[in-house]
Amino acid sequence: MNRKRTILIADDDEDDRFLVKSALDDCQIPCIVQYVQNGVEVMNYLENNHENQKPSLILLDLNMPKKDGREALKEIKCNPKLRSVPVIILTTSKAMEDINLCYGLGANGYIVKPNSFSELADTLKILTKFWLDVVTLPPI
Amino acid sequence: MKQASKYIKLSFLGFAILLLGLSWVSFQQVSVNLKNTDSVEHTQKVLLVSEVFISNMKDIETGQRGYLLTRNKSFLEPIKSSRIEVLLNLDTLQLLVKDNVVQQRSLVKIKELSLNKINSLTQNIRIVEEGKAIDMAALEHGKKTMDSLRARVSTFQKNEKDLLNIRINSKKYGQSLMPVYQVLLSIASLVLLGISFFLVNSELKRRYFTEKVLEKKVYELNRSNAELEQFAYVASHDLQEPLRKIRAFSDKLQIKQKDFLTLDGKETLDKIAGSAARMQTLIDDLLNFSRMINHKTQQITQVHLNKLIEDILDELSDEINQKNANIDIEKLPILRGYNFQMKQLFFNLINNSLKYSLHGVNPAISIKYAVIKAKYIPLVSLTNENQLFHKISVKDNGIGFENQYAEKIFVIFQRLHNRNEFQGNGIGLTICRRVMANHNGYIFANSSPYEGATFDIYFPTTTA
Repeated sequence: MNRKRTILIADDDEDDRFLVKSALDDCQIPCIVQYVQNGVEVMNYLENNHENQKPSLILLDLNMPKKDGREALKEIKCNPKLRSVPVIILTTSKAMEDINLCYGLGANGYIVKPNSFSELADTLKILTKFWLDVVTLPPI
Repeated sequence: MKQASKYIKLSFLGFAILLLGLSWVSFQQVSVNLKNTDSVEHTQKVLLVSEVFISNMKDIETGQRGYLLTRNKSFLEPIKSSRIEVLLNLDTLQLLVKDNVVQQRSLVKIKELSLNKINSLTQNIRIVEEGKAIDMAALEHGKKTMDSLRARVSTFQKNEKDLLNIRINSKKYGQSLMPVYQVLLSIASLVLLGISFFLVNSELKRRYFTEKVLEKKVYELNRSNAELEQFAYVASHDLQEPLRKIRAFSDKLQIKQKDFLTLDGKETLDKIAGSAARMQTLIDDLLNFSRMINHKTQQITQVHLNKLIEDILDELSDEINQKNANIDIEKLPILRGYNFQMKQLFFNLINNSLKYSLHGVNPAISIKYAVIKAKYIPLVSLTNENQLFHKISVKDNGIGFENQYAEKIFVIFQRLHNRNEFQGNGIGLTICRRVMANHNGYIFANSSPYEGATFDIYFPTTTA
């Protein structure tokens, strides 16, 4: 089954969601962008509502209400059905503990939110190009 | 507190003196008792010997009378033996009363009389032995001598007895006062002991109370300190969020709207971006600093200072080469401390020396080392003046500063120059001072304009 070219953005900050959306628009890579605001919504999206539409990439913020990115990441990577979904952490935290923890839990990448819009656009361009067009992932 | 401990010392001293007094009184009492026993024994001896003496004299007298009446020679035997006894008795008595002039004199008289008596008695016996008749007058004289001898001896004995009584009475008087002294001293000791106890107890209570108050203060201080650290971290962390967005949005505006923006609009956006970037570095510095404050999470290790500085010089090699700087480093010690913090410390100092160099002069930086006593550290007074410190001086030939700013430069975000003259946020030396505080050490600066600056840092030799 082909993956839908969907990118799931999990971030509680509206501004950040807006910035990421604008940056992704600039990338001009055809894909659907979906938004959720916390870890609970991430898991709902993955497990219930979209059984056959696993996203091609998840951009996961760490500090979110209800269920934070760390917990969501752990649940995704512990679930055999979800494990192969690439998860890139996109956060403001530069703390070494977070970086170590996330890679330990199986994150596919860790990116500190860039300070400038142009940097963000560049980063997302490389990222989507790589995860949507370059890598080969196992079928679901 | 000093007053209280003075009183405590005084009361204990008084208590000790009273105890000494008590012991002295007891000792006196015992020695008086011993002396009294001695004098009673002495008098008894004198009386006994004088008794024996008089009885010997009587024996001699009886022997003589017997012989004179019966002409029986067997009566003469006791006279011979008693005569020797009498002389011995007199010698003994003389020895016994040798410390008493009156008794001695009286004894001399007794001796004279007794010798006299014995002489006349021997003469009488010889007359009888020669078969002549005894002169009645001589007998009468002998009797008189004997009577006066007895009287003398009894006076002698009476004197001795009186002496004993006087001695015992005088001591009895003293002795009768002794228990009074003892009781008084004991009561005084008890009172002083009570006072001492009261003083010590109240002082202890006071200290206990102060300790409690201090403990509470320390607790509160620790808590507020922890809160402050937390505050610095959270504030700088949370400040970053909106700031990052200001930067991102103004960046986005500049990129997306570049075709519609006027020159003035672009310049304004540039200024916004520049200010935001500066704010970012300030927040980053603050965050770093707040992490530095919370040093408990870091590990204490052996820090090889020469090696550490070599690494720093490697990192700064571009700057060093560019300015053609000359850096002279003495042999430095190996200290126990936080390696990362020590590196920050020396990096900031050396970096400052390079940065604030005089235009057109090759920077010369010297790092010197000595071990000194605490009393030679300026502006610091420690209880143990002789505690040893590692003193490391970082001296340069740069622009220096007015010495009145020597303390101000360590305050966070304080700068002596405009940003367009020298880059920096004014946090480097604040970090240095914090690093030294974390190592229980000190850092001080010394300078005058255009004559270079010296930074002296002091680590305790037994660093935590």
